[in-house]
Amino acid sequence: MAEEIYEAPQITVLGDLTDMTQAGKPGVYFDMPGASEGSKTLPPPGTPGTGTS
Amino acid sequence: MRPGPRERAWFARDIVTSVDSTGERVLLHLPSGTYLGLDRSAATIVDLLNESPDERQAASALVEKFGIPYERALGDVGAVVAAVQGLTAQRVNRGRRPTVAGVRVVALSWWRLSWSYKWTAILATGVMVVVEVGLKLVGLSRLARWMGVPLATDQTVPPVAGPDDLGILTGSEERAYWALGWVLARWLYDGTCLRRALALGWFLRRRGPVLRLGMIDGVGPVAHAWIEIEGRAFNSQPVRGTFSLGAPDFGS
Repeated sequence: MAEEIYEAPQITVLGDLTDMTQAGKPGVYFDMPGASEGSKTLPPPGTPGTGTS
Repeated sequence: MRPGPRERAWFARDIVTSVDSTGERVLLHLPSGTYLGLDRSAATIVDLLNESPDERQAASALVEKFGIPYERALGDVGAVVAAVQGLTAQRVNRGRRPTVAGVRVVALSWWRLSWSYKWTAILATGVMVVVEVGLKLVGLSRLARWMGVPLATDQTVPPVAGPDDLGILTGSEERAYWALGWVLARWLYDGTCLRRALALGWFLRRRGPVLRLGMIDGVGPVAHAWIEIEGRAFNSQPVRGTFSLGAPDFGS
């Protein structure tokens, strides 16, 4: 069994909570059932709110 | 990245950890809202400090485990404490500036909704304003508690990803669910999972929801937030593990 080697600890900053907690379903466009504007229609890229969910 | 104040007291309750898709430990410092990546040595020291906040005791444990000089161990422990408490990530995403044309489109879209959805969308907008202000001014633990969806920090099995089960919701709750999605799709900031979880948690607060965080499986350093109610997850995604207090036990 290999002996565990100790090295100087390394800590890296990955990101801010609000920026990094953003996983989801890219491009999913939420709309309400029966909305008259055309629900479930995918908006063009860059439309506000569609980058992540 | 900017250094913050170096307070040397270690509070285990301020720290939750998980692993990313590569198996690397990730720490979330709750007061500063900063995600940090830990190598194996740093993770070991964090675990020792979570067991006992005494730096000398942690250094002695390092000496015993790895056979390194005590002074080096004590220096490394101090460096980890300073880094965890002092490193702070700057928020990058500052949202979009509304335009007259954009406001007009959103207003027209809102006007076409039924009256019940109109009012619910206004309420959802107000909740999102509270969430936005809260994310800027207070720590996540406090904000989540205020919203009625406290952050769960116990170790648990990640939920199975799948569509949300709306069958358990009442009519008004389901209307809030959709209205919130409508608002988030038009929000000035990205409609991220964290914003959705906090706001949806508020609408469903009478059911005793909890907020959970985890690292998304297979796509780099991206975290996910979701809520769980009565054992059911809303907006679940495949995550490697959930953020929890203490040393994680990931099984695989």
